[in-house]
Amino acid sequence: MRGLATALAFWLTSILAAAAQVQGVELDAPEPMPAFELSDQLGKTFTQDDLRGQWTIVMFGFNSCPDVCPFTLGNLEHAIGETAMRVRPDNVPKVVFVSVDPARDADYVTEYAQYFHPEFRGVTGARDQIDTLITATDSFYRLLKPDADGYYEVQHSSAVSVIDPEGNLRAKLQPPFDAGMTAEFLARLQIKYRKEKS
Amino acid sequence: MMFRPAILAALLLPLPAFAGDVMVSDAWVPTAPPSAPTHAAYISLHNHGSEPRVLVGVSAEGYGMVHLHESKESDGVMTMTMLHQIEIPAGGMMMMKPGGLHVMLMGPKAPLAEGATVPLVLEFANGDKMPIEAMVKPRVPES
Repeated sequence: MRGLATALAFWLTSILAAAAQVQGVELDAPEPMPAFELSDQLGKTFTQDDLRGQWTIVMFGFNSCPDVCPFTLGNLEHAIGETAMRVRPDNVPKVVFVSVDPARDADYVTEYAQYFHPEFRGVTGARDQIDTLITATDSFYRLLKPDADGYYEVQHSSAVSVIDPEGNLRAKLQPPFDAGMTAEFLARLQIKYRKEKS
Repeated sequence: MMFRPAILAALLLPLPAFAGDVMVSDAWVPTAPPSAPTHAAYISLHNHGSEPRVLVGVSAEGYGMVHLHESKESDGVMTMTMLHQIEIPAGGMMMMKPGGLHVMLMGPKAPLAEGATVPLVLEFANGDKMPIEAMVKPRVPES
């Protein structure tokens, strides 16, 4: 029993030590994305087909998030800039911000995302379509109960999903999205992917 | 020299905001998308006194509602919690920062302009009210 506790403590310590360094976690096996349909504020659709042909980073959030979402989007913008210096231009991931709060965000979700980078996409959609993508990327969100003023909080996963040019989930990136380390992780992931394919 | 160093320093520095022994060392509002329904403010306070002080609220004329908030990550999920008070220990400080303690400014009456200031009033448990100005500036990405 004592041995088990020691082993567990050691395991936990190693994980915590690694977590302080690791910006991304690779999946053991790539996970294909199911069919879904979301759209931007102008009605342009975003489906599983848009995940093909380039690397994509999918982030879940909501526009009323004053602290963490802008922080993450700003850090991702910086990380993508760093990545662009390490990979070919056509391998720079496209960032897609998916609002899990369509009731409040449907009319603004695209301009919100593009404020952080003109090439970021902002999309949302029907609850079941959002849930499909949430489940497929092993993510989480929850809309909390509204207060007396009708205001409600939203909880959501802090990690973002990295999807390969064949539309398979390959890795999750974790905050704080240090620009250099995130770029390094993405560049290595792409090298490994190309080796697999060659 | 007639001046004691602390007094000299006070004469040389721009006039800081005070409420009793509490001093603001930093106050800023990150630029946000024009349609953003909420803004954040990050304030750092020093308590130079010998008694703890308690921040119980912030009011802002330019907003519909203001909350004290804390973002926390637990098991990979980000959660914001509303706080009813934040204590600043005697001789200590309270620092707000992205991903942690922050002021949530809801329902802005106008979009933010970089370089402008947002007037805020800090409210303390002892009834002190402290008007401050938070500078609007871009977020500096983590690096």
